[in-house]
Amino acid sequence: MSIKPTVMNSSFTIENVSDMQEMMRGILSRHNGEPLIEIDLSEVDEFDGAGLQLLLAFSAAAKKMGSHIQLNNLPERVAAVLTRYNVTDHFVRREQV
Amino acid sequence: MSNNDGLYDDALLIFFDEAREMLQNIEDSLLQLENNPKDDEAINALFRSAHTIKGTSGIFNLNRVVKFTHQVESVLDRVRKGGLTIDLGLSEALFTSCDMIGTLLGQVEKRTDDPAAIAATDAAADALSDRLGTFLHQGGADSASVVKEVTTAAENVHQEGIWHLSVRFHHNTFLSGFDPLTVIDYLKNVGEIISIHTIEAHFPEWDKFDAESCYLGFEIRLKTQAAKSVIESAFEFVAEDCDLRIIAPTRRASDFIALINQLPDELRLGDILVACGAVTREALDSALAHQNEVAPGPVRQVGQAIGEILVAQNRVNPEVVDAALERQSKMTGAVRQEGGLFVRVPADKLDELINLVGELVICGASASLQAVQAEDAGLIGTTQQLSRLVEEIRNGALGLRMVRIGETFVRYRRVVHDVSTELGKTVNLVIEGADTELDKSVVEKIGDPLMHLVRNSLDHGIEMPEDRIAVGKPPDGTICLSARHDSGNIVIQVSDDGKGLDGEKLLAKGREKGLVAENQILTEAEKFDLIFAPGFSTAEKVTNLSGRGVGMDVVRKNIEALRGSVKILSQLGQGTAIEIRLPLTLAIIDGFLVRIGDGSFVIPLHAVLECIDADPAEMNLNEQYAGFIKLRGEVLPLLALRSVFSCQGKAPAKQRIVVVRGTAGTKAGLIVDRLDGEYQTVIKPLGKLFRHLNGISGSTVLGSGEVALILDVGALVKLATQNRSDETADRQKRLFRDLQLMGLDHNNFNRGT
Repeated sequence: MSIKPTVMNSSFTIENVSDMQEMMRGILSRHNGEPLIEIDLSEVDEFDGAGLQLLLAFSAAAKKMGSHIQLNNLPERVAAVLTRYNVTDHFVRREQV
Repeated sequence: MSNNDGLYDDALLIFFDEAREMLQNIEDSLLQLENNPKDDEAINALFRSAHTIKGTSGIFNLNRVVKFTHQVESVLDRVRKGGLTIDLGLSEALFTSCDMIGTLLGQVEKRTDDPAAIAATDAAADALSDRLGTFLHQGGADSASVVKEVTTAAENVHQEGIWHLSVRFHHNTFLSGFDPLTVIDYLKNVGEIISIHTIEAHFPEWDKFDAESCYLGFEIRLKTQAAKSVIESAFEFVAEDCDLRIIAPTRRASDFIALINQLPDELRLGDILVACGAVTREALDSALAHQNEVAPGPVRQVGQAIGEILVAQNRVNPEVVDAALERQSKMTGAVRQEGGLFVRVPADKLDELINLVGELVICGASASLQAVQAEDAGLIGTTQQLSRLVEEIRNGALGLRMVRIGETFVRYRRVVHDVSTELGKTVNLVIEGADTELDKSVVEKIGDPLMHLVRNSLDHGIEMPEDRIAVGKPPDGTICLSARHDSGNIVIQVSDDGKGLDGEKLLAKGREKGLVAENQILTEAEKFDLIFAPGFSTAEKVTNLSGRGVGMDVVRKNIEALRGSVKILSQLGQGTAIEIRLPLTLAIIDGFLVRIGDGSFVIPLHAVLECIDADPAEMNLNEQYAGFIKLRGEVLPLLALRSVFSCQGKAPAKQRIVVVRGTAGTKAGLIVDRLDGEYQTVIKPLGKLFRHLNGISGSTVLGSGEVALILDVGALVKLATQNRSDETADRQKRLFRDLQLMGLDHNNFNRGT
């Protein structure tokens, strides 16, 4: 839990997913067996299907490494999408910890 | 890499072309919506066009275009969902947006790198974007009820039930500019989404995961009364980017088994279906057991077998089969549209083909001639058949360059709309004969003159609504653009039901400008013709549309450059019609064949006024080449072509004069040796070396294989009528030198020498 949560870009959309994936790859490569990988979504104000997909893939990749993704400061909008698409149980939310 | 860049550039060029078509579609749809704001088809077309521009711009990383078009699309999306009606304000904003997209694309196309220009455009785009934004937040409260009303009214209502939707998006969905979430969101307008399960089965390993490819799939439970077609329509725009399976509320477990079998890679699908309540665990298990009993074997084969079982057991509803067939036909239709119906061919390739076919015609004619001379009956028969085939090929080749004029005409819808709005007039544009075809090169060149005529009709022709009512006309004016074929020509007419031309007023103005002598009497047609005189404008009030002095004279000049003619028909108070007559193609010319010495020349027939005998006693020629003759009391400048082109051979005792018409009503007589009559021929452009040759516009090859030069009548008439001797002498010298330098001897042009 020593790694500082990475703050995600405001536009979590198709326009940025490539860069964000690179960033996530970086996070996973630095991963050192911590049970939780924290990312901070407080800045996110745009979120689309590509963003959702990347988040899910990130979570799956983390799970393979025995870790979970923790979403910090989840904006209402993003939380609503995760709920609607029935994927909230893929992630750990800050409140639940 | 460079090869890829080339491909990319090619694709980009095609995109610009397509984007222009899309923008045209947007304009058309907007105009259509002005007449009928509830036209769903037009609204959908509008959205689709904007959407495609955005999507494709995204592929090419044209972020400025994407950003702006996104806003337009959002507004249109709202319109499509019934939250917003296209009124005058929105329509104007969308028209302006259309121009803005054009400007943004234009800057990319021209590779504009001037930061000031880009910043100015961006600022304008942002301002417009904000303006569009106001429409997004307008009247939000009642939008939901509107949507409901629209959907329920539009479709036959079914019993409410829970439908099951299974959708798998294709990899290129994001790149096509679609967001699956938006598509699914749209289902809210169709019914109530009970649950969504996100399918991650197609996600590749993290190492191979490409964030820009779409691997998403969804199992959706939707409660609705709507028919299947309505549910499908929500996916209309992504029809080619996803696999959609819809299972009706009345379906049984077996249908879900079929679904599972269709997606053999998704191992957990059965569980998901049970989880979302589509099917019970017991029903699923028993159906699976039954299936295994009937057709044991590996999963994939079972998948195929169950379809057959279901058909045999009469369990598959015809609706399902129909849907499958419909989908299939939709797919093939789309494929055909993309690749089958049209082939994009560069224009120069066509020109090359036509040029070669021209050569073939000549070669064929030469073969025929030789066959006749050889008096070989068999050979004559064969060459005749050959000629016929070559003729067909030529017509076919020329036909390839023919395009419908309708595409040019529809461009004026926007002009009529904009200009009439600006002037406070209501004008309808009627288009007739849009299917009439003419050569692409003519279409390209006729655009500007037509635009001017349409603007003129709008500005000067159609009266203000109150004036129209006062004279008992309907308040809405009409402008009619029509096209028709008429004996090898195309006749384009721009007519209006406006106030018509006042011959007396034109005459007075002509006198004032010194164009008409005080005692000169003009026919009505001649009075109308005055508007073609340079610098002539009857507009008392100069608007920013017309009356700028570059008027009808330019129109006439442009049309005559295409070997066409303009005629005005007008009735005071009833309206004006301007008739443009153009040759169907620029590749073929109706010529008048004349002979001077050893050489043949072709004078474009449209310029020939009359032919007279050249009586040496009446002619006053100087020692060089020019002179004059008195023709019915008028002085007619003369030009001895023999001297101009330094032709070989002795002049006959009796020469002829062909009276030709130059630009702006000037006339001249060309002295030739012999008249050989009318002759239709294929024009061959002059080679690079001869491009600057004065007095010659092209060449053609006669049936005998001899080359004939096509005369540039305008230049020759100018030469004949130029009065200043020094300049004339200079011109003559220059021309003479040109000809000598180029070795313009007919023999040099002849084939085989």
